[in-house]
Amino acid sequence: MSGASAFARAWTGRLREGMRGAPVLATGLVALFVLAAVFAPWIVPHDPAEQNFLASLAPPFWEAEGSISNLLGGDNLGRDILSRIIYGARLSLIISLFAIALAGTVGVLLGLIAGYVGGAIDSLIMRIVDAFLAMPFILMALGFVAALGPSVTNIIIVMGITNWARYARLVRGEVLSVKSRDYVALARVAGQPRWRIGIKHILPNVTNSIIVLATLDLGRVIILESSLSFLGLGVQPPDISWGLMLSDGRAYTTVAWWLTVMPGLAILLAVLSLNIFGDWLRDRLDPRQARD
Amino acid sequence: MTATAAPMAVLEVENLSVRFRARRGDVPAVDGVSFRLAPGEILGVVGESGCGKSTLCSALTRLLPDNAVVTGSIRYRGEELLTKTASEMRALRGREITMVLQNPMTAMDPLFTVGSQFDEVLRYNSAMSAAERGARALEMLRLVHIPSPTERLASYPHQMSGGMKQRMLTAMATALKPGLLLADEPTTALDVTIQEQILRLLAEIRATLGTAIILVTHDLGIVRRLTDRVVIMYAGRAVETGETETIFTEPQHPYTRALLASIPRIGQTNRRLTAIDGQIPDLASLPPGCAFAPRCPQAMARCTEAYPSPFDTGPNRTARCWLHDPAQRGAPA
Amino acid sequence: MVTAEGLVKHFPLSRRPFAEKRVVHAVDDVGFTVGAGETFGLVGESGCGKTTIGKLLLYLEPLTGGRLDVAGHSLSPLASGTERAFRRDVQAVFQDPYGALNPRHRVLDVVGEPLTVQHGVRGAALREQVQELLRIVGLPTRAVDQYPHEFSGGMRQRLAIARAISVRPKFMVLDEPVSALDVSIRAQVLNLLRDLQEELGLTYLFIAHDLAVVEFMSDRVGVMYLGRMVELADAAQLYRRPLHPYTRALLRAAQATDLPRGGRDTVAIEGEVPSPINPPSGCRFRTRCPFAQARCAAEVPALTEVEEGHRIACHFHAEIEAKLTA
Repeated sequence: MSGASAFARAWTGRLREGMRGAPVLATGLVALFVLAAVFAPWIVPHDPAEQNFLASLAPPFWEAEGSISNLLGGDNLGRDILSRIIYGARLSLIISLFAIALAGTVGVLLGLIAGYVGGAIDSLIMRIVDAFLAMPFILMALGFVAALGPSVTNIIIVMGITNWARYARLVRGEVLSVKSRDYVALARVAGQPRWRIGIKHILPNVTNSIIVLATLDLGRVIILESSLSFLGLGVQPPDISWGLMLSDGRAYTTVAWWLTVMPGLAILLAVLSLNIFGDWLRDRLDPRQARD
Repeated sequence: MTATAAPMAVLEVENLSVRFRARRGDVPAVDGVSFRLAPGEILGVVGESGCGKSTLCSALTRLLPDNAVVTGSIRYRGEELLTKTASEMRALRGREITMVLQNPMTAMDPLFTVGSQFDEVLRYNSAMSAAERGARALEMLRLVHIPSPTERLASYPHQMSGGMKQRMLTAMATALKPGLLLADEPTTALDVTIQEQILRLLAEIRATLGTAIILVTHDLGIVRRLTDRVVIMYAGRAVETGETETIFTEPQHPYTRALLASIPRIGQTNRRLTAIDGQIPDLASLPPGCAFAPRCPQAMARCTEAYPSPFDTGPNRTARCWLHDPAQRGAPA
Repeated sequence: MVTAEGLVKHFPLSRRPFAEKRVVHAVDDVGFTVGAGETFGLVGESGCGKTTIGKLLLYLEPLTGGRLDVAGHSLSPLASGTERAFRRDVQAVFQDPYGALNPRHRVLDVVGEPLTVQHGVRGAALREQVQELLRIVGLPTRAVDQYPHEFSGGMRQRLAIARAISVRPKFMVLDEPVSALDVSIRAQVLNLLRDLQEELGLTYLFIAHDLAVVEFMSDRVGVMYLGRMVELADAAQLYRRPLHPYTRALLRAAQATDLPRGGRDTVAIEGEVPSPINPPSGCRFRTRCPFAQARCAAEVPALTEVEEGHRIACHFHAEIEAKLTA
């Protein structure tokens, strides 16, 4: 019993130490966002697909005709906006995480190879990176979705393909700087084969940067997904996405502003808090400010 | 201003202390340091990393970060610096008290020519006309032996080598004939033959302009080469002060003695060096008493209990060590 | 232990297809030998090629030209499949005690890496051996579970030394091992290196810019300038009777550290080291040499023996010596 509480205390202590100086509001919002996404089926007040005729275009609860039943109001088909936003968070997070995982894996691998092997292979990979970074995202996504057809899997693939280049460029730069450290030369002197040096010495020393870029990218990717869905190239009904909600609500802006403002606000807060959290994380993980 | 030929000291530092306030308690970076600097004198401030020599240097120009608490007194030509306002200090820096720093590579703006940066220094700190400023810049470049000075002034910092930049920075720092030049590790980033050139240059500057120089360094060789007097620092305290040559020939503080003995010398054929055991102490957790006591071969019981004030150990010499307590003189070796 | 003949190392500067091919002449035609159990010192200023020589001997850089044998392995080039065996015989300690240890690994893994790689030592056996190594270099055995950032510079350098000696090498390259350390710590590390040499029968290549430190450590010393060896002699000979004007200039700069010797046989030089991309013709030191003559630009002086074990590359060393001692 007391052992367990001591264990818990040690962990909260470590957590407190690790989170020192974190931006409270942003971190709270990020946590809220993640929790909502994970526990969506258990916390939504209504089935997000349930059409309640009485709640059709119902305003948020603080408005004159609003009710507690639909806190953030209802949409044109009488579906609960809060529930739909919570489910939207779930899909946004799933899509973003998979997209970043895909982009990150491809990018980190190619960046590692480019930076570590160097020479002609480096030049080749980096020219491809330049080409990808120069292409306008929406145009590229349009092409891909037109070819593959819109579906959640395809959105993930499209965003993976269009985002890997940033990871490759970051990792290559980091690898070049880590590669010149003495401990890498000394690992060779110790007799480590080159591929093991890459895994044991170089990759762990670039992971911080990758984590930070991925966190900051999460916000970016959420916006991209919303844009695609808004344009009808992303998530398709009956799946729910914030971008899709925006698109659906567009026709009602003048009579029911909450149909667009609520999902818009969700996007804004999620992206903003992710960016602030990412900035803090970057400072926190910066090796120059090593644990004091 | 340099005409006042009275034997007034250029700089008098008395019982100067700097503490940095930190989350885990205060860090005493400089503790009770006192010294005097006569016009045209070169004073060496020597010590290892964390001994407080750089903090001392920043304190003299009042360029410390906000969490520093400074006590004691710093008088420049009789005027107290610690009570001056920020704008009064700004007027003093750059004209009366100037600096040459360790890294010549980052001391100049890469986007402007050397000449325009030189001119800026003169324009902000003096009332000279453009023609006078140009003439002064050329004169200074000749003084520091920079070949083809006119072309040099038109070039950019990246077109000059480290040694050349350090010459240029020395010229800028002394162009207005300051009373005091602070040189913080001015040769550390340079190769030995270039170091040697810069040291000769500093000696020339002192001789021709009469500038007093404080040379902050970890290199005892440079100190011996250039300075008249020395302050040896350890863990924020001035453990020994005195004339350079006597400090080198008859060191009196055990730290100075141990330090001099631990340096390999050319022509010395010992198979082992007399090393100082232990590590340099952490300023945030200094032991009570003398900070050198844990590494000192002559440490006594009282060394770990209390820290002595400076004892006079000869003409113009002090050592902060119980071995030199007049109350028990004659006992130690 | 080491035989180097006509070592050449050039680094290509630009790999663009149509750009003019320019190379950095890091090392040009350098030869020397190091006998088993002795310390060969290499001195010179930045850009003189001493660090490149160290890298060549460690097989971290391939040779551009010349012949090199280290600890019984030919490095021109190293036969395929023998790199592991070579790495067992040759180890290194570098200048920067902060960059030499991977900040993410514990001391156990940092010091134990060569043992794991070379002999597959793991687990409790590795722990035991690392603790023994820590004891040898004068560190507490509990350090085994700490991280490098918990140690001061001098202690980190001890860790780097423990790691290097772990596989019982025959030959070690020590590249400025004390120049980043505080003065009061240097003597400890230098003494440790000498003690280990005696106990383990090591051969050292000791690279440094500090002449006094080199003299303390070395049996023989080579002086390098801009990629060339200009003087090579027994340590005692070199410091008693420096012959090359550049060696004399270095000694003058170093003597400031020492009791004033009068500087009778030393030389003050002006100017700075020229670019190794376009080094001066003939003798590379001629642009700064106060004794330079027409012949110095026309003809590369060969490293020739002037007395037993004392070789020098200068056309006019006899005249200079006569002039300076007159």
